[in-house]
Amino acid sequence: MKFKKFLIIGCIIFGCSLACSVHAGFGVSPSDVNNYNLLPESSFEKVLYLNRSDAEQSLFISMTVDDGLVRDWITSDRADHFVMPAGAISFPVTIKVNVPVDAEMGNYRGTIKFVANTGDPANPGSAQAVLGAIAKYNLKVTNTNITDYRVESMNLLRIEKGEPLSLSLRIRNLGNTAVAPTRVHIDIMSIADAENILESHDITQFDESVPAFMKTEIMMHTAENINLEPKSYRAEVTVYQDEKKLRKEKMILEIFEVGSLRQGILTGMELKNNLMEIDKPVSLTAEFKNTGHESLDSKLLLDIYDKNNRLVGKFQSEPVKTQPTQTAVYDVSLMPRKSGEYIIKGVVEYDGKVSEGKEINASGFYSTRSLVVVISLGIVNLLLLIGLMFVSKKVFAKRF
Amino acid sequence: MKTKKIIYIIVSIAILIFADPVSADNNLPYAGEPSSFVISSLQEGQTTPITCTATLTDPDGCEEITGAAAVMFRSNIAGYTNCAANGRNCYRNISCSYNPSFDPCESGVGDLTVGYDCVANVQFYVDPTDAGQYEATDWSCEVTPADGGGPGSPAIFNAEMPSNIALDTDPLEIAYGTIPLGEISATAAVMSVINSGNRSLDIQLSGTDMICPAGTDIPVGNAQYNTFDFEYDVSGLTLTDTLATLTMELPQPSDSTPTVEADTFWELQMLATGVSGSCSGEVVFNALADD
Repeated sequence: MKFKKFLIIGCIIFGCSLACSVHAGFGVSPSDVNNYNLLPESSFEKVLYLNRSDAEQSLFISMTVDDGLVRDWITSDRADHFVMPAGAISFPVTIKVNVPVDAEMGNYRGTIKFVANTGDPANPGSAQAVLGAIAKYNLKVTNTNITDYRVESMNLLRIEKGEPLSLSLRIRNLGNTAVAPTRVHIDIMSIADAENILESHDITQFDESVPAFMKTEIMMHTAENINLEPKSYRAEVTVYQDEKKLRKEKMILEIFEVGSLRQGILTGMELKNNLMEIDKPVSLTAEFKNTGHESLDSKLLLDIYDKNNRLVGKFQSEPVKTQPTQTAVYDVSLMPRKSGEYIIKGVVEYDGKVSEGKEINASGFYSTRSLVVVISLGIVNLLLLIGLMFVSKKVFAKRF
Repeated sequence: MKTKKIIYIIVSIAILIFADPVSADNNLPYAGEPSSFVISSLQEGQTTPITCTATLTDPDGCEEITGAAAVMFRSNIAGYTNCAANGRNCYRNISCSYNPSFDPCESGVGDLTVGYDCVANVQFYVDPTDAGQYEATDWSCEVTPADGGGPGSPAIFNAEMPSNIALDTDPLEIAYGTIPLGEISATAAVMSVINSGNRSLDIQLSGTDMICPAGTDIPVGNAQYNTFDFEYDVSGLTLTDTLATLTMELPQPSDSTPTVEADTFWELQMLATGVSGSCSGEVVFNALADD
């Protein structure tokens, strides 16, 4: 039969329309792992993001570093095979490069390949297109110490009168040695008159440095305190590496009254019902207003005392972040176990400080229903006891 | 009569000067540090929101600031901040919005500074500056604040735009269809490869045997391909289970439509005997920067 001479590699259109429903590309960004300043025994990390426009399905990723000389130098925070979960349009993979102590000087190039498979079988008569993206690496090992960094951002922090100036610098270290500026110079002027320098300060001692190939923020402070009157000032910050000006920026320095920069008030605390039914949750609400000028992480602390002033319970809320002028609201559920009088004392802890406290007097009581249950149970127990005594008496009377 | 007219003009001018508080002694705002402009990665085939955050300062008080606008551009582009808007290297008229978590504006207490976010939806084909022909340059974000008196002084922040090696295919499968025993595909199956990233691409290909439900599997080498409609065993390239580079014209796109894509053509030779049932396999399309 002619039919037998043919092999049907069926492309079942209907089947394909079901299995081929997802149309999504695949990529890796950034797609280069380059470092031209590596010393023997140094290391660095780079995060690559696998990405796709359609995240309906999980992807099974296989990662392969090519068989170059430096294959053993390159690892990642993922296994050779891992899953990019459904819903993730972007998925980080941290590539780590560790240069061995005996590495020879020179350039090493190669590739890191990511292949993404949906795991769906191909339709009969078809070859499924599996997508992959190849990142390149270019590593240069040198024995020369290189100092090369950029000041990406700077922030002159708000202070209270009498505090030292605090400056944070975000530094991207492109070199192979730890770095920090050699000097930071700060001129402070009034807002109205930018020409009239009121104070000048130099920072030359740095407690922190940025490790090779890292990007991080470092903090620095002037040795002396600032006693200018609380208000806003112009400031000009210049960052030096030896005599070279790395960056110069005009900024605003804001000085506040002592104690006013980070402060807050516990404005209210109330119990939904001061008569608390035993074993039933009752809601307590407290409000804390950020009256300072910085965002605050705060938490509510409650101490619960009985009528003899004995501590019978403690509570601590999760931290809540509050912006200036905003109010944090804490909702707490309390459940008394015993009847009696209680005093609930609350304070808010923030920025190493504790707010003024508030107190609520409350009573724990058994509800009518619970009282009926308790009394009923008591009567039943009493009857059982009398019955038992009666039976025992009869048994003993028979025996003796 | 004439004196009356003069007095009227003088009074009008005085009203104009004193009634508008911003035109008298207004200090225009300016942008500056602290700032944040960091780009981690791009998304293939679609836009990625890129945020540039700046501190805006108004010497008359942060509440005077009415808004800000931004331009993002490749730092060596012609025209610089006046570049012509396009998806590759220049994004103009980026709107900015108040970001109280970066720096809140506390009204009435002499607060001069406020944080603003400027977000551009950057195209997938935007010029990268971490590799390739623009490696020596950066991307810049210029933020210009404004108050009632008009636009103030801008500040420029720089960041690296990452590359994205990305591809897509259309359709998702190479459909060989029905092939008689011992024969070759009557017509080539066509598979388009789409550049959905921001680098010029080459493609590396590898494949697997076609697995059949019974009998012998079809070896990977029975599949041939090329970038044109080829003649099997004459101008076809044999598919192997190891990667082979196929040079294709897949340059960095300059727009989202039309897509940058190139066709690949596929043919399969069926074994003469021993194959039974409907077979299926895999072909891996790997994207690699061609620069």
